[in-house]
Amino acid sequence: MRLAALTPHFVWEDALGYAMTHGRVRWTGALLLADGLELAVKKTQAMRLGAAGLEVRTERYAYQLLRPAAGEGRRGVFRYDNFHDHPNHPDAHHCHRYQDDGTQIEPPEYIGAAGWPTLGDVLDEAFRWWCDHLQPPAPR
Amino acid sequence: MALSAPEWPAEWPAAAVLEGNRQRLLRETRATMRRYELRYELRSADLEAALRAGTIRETWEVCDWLFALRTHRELAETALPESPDAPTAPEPE
Repeated sequence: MRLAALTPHFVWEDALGYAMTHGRVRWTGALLLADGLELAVKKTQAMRLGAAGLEVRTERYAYQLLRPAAGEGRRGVFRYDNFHDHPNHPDAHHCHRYQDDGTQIEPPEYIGAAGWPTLGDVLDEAFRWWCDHLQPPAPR
Repeated sequence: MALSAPEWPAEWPAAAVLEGNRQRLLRETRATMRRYELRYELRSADLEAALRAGTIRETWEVCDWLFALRTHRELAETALPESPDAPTAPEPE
């Protein structure tokens, strides 16, 4: 499941932007989702000119799902990133998850270089979370 | 519904565009780092050591700081435009 398939019922606005510099492109911003959810993105990709045009490969990423919280802005739901190594993790790919009260669960879950997610994967997980938590029951 | 992301270019952007983006990002990341340094009373140069030592937690805000710090470092190291024939070697996904 990807961006187009989830638009417009789940993805309400694409507020991601990018800036290209010499050899890299950096993405920041968010996908604004249904019911006040927000998928915030920070990503750096290496960029080169290939046979089919510009090609990119992700170097660093952080994808954080935020949900609205009464009276206090937003709370985290989960965050996938490779920004920082954690003790006892062989590499930097990990996931932070949050309790309902917004407390970050420690330690972060190890994901690993073989299984780190794309933005599309994270969007799929955000959609599943929304289906499980926020949709009202279907009328009978 | 608004898909507001700019269209992905088909060709290597002009050197002046890349350099203009680099200068803008240098200014923006410098301002971001300064803001967090004041808030946390910690120099950006000491942020990674503080994370390793566990004296600061990796939150979304700290990710923003790390992103600014590393972006700033990379941009400071790429002062001269590179040829599109010799780009930074990407890591395999």
